[in-house]
Amino acid sequence: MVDALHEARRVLRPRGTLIDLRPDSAHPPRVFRGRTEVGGLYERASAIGDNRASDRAVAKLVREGSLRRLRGGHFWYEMRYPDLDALVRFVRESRRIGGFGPGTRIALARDPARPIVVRRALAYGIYERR
Amino acid sequence: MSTRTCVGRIGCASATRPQDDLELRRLRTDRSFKDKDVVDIGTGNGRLSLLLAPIARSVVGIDPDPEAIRDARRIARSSGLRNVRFAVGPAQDLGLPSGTYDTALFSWSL
Repeated sequence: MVDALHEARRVLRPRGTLIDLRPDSAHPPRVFRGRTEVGGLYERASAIGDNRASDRAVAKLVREGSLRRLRGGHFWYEMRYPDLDALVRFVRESRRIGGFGPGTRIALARDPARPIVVRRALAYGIYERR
Repeated sequence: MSTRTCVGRIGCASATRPQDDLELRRLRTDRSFKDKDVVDIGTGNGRLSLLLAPIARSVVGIDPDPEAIRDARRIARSSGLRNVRFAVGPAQDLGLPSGTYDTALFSWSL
């Protein structure tokens, strides 16, 4: 990751912009039925570990003065699933999502045919090449 | 739904990514892309590169997955976009000249 960041920095012009956008492990996915939050999903330890490694890599370049942080934050977006089966399939196939949070699947199973909305967070950081 | 179902439409989402240009709108980074030379590192099937092409001066999308790059090139051709190109390669060795890009984007790829 550090190598990739150094390579990106190399191709940037002085004061060019580097944008890092990725899933936000600090804000796990939330599961909604209509407007009611019924639980959440949890991320695999490997995905959280990868995110932390990326955070450390970016921090290293900032620390060494190669990048300057301009701003950052997170925002939410929604993924819609027609029913519980569709969400279960997604969770089973996901490399990032590990499973349902406590009570979530039970709550969804009470009415399995209704659509489900999963709100996921993306974190971003915007940096200036030094 | 896999990413393959996305082929052929600009800005279409995979099973896990936002629809269309939501990321670009939320980032409020117009100044980072408008009339700029952009490199999209880990472009996948070029979803964001293809959305950026109409506003950027040029876009280069790079990804290690040859199949994804093939899809990206096909969509670019069918869309008539002339200022975007795609290359297969790792993020650690972009094969691009030094100091030539205004913006480097890691979207879900760092």
